[in-house]
Amino acid sequence: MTERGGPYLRDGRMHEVVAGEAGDAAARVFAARVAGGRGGVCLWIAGARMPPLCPHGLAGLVDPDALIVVEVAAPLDGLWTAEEGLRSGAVGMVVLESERPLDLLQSRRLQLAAEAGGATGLFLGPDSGNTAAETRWQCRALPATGSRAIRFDWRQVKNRRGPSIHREAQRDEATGRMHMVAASGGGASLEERPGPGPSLRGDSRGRRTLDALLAERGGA
Amino acid sequence: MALADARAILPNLGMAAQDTERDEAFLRALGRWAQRFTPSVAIEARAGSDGTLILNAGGCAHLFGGEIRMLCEIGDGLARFGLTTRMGLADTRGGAVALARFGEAGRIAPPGGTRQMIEPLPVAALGLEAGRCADLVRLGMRTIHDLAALPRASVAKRFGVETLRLLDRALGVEADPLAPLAQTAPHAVRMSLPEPIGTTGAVAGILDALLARLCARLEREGLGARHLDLSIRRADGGSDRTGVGLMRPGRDARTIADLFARKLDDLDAGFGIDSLRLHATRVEPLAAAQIAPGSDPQGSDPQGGGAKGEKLDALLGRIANRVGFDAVIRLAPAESHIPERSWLRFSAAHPEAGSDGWPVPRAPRPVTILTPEALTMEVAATRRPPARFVWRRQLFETVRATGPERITPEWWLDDPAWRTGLRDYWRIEAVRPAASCARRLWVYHTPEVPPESSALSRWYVHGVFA
Repeated sequence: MTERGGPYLRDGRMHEVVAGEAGDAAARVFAARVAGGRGGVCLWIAGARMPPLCPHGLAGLVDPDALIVVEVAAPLDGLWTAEEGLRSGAVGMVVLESERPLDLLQSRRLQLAAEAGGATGLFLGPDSGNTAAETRWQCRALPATGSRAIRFDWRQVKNRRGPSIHREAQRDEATGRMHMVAASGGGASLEERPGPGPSLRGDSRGRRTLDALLAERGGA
Repeated sequence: MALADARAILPNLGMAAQDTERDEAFLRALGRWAQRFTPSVAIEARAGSDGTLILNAGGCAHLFGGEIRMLCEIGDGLARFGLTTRMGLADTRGGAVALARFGEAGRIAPPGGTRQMIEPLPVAALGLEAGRCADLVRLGMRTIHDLAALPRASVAKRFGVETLRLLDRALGVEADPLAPLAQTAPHAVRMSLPEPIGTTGAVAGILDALLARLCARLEREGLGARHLDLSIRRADGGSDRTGVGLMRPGRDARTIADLFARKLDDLDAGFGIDSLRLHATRVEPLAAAQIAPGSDPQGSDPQGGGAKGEKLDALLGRIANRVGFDAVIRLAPAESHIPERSWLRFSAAHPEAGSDGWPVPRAPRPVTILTPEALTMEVAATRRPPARFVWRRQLFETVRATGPERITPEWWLDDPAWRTGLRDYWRIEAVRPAASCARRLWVYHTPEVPPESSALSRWYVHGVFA
């Protein structure tokens, strides 16, 4: 029982969610929502000692049958598994929960693997600073206003492809479903639809000169 | 003789504990070896005695040039293993065993001559219990001849039907069927090399050749491997081994070679590898599949089916071989109201992993389940959640509380975590003073614990919604 609808994260890219604590529920809700909206099998990698993900709590976000949970004992195993999963092309999405931040090299490797396999990668962990991720999100719950729904505040703190957007979602307590509500922030496109487009940095080839890009922009 | 007495006589006496299981395994291995002489080999392992290997030589002896030559060949083969053996050959199993254990070494009873050969042997040669033997000897029946001369009815009456049956079997009066070992050739292939090899690439090349042979055989027999072992023998006599497991039974040489590729570096080649043996230690039936890329017979397969499903299996196999098969998990709903037991974790390799659909929870469940963490509070709260509390060293104020949802322990399971009795669960929204974000927590208290025992810490956080 999942309904489609944002947030859309671009395929073939790594994305990040800042998780304040091990098993951060707000970040997990975001990841589950993205996985449910994207469809396909989701490889969910978590530390063996993290608080477990409760599949009943994912109702309305993602079908738990689509999840394959991998519990890794060492952070390096998690990175390896994520890279392997992203590269294989057999799963649509890979969620990597970690208690350690990614460094630039690790995130770049994951980014290359995601490009090779065309899968969406999502890293849930501490704010990693300068990484190769396409977008970075901060997720938190807001105080409820009136209704019983849980209000989430999803704020992009980084977007390589344009201005950061900021969205508000409400999760119905009874059904678990999410509804997007009015978003604020200066983003030109609130719904970042997947699709090819000219870009300077995120392109898989990534070797274009500025001139070629400007020519392309001019033509478009 | 007791061990203490033996040690008093010989202080540096070696000692080893009896290991029946390994003895039996060894006998079984010997039995498999002996199947080269006859298809019908049985083993007889009795507690407290040496094992007996029984070969039904009927119709086989001429292949080895007669009974004597056959016995010689078996004896030579066993001697090469460093074993001390005693052999006997007779018309009946009982007779052969009696000759082997009590006759002169390597005695062969001619056809029809079993009775003559075993009659002079002591009654213990029949394989009687020790107590029964002692009874017989005390009454003067020292040899099988003495026993066979007695009236049958009184033997059965005085010494039990079993004694008579053993005698009859040894003399060939009563049928004595063998229970031969099954002819199970292990799914293994080996290759010995003219020159030792040492590089990973060379080993991988040999492995490909071995896999091609093994997989062809598995395909012929309609089997798929679940676990494979690669053992190597080094030039210096040492050995090493490594193994891989498969998510689903498979016999695709490429897939298996991929799995091994990550393990070959673990092998210690030492001064070079002399021979390799690849053994499918676990095989399962695998029906032949029609392989047609792009066509998917089960179009509604939720995993994308066909090629995609195979890719997923291959991926999970690679992951499981690194992190362990228990760590790759699929979830399934369980019939329990206890939050932490309301779902099951299946190894993704489990054939029945996956569920038939998830029930709608009767009340919202948190996304993250914690081991219950106690709240501390200044003012004791009894029925409703505390208005102010400290959780993870942060002060929270409860803004809203929904509940209670009462969950009673499963009395048929003694779960230490639920010994405090039933629980009242509340969903609360808590905010930190002067912070704009809110937390949604799943808290409970245990009304059955008497208030005076630990009044200030009877509230716990069990899960987090956000």
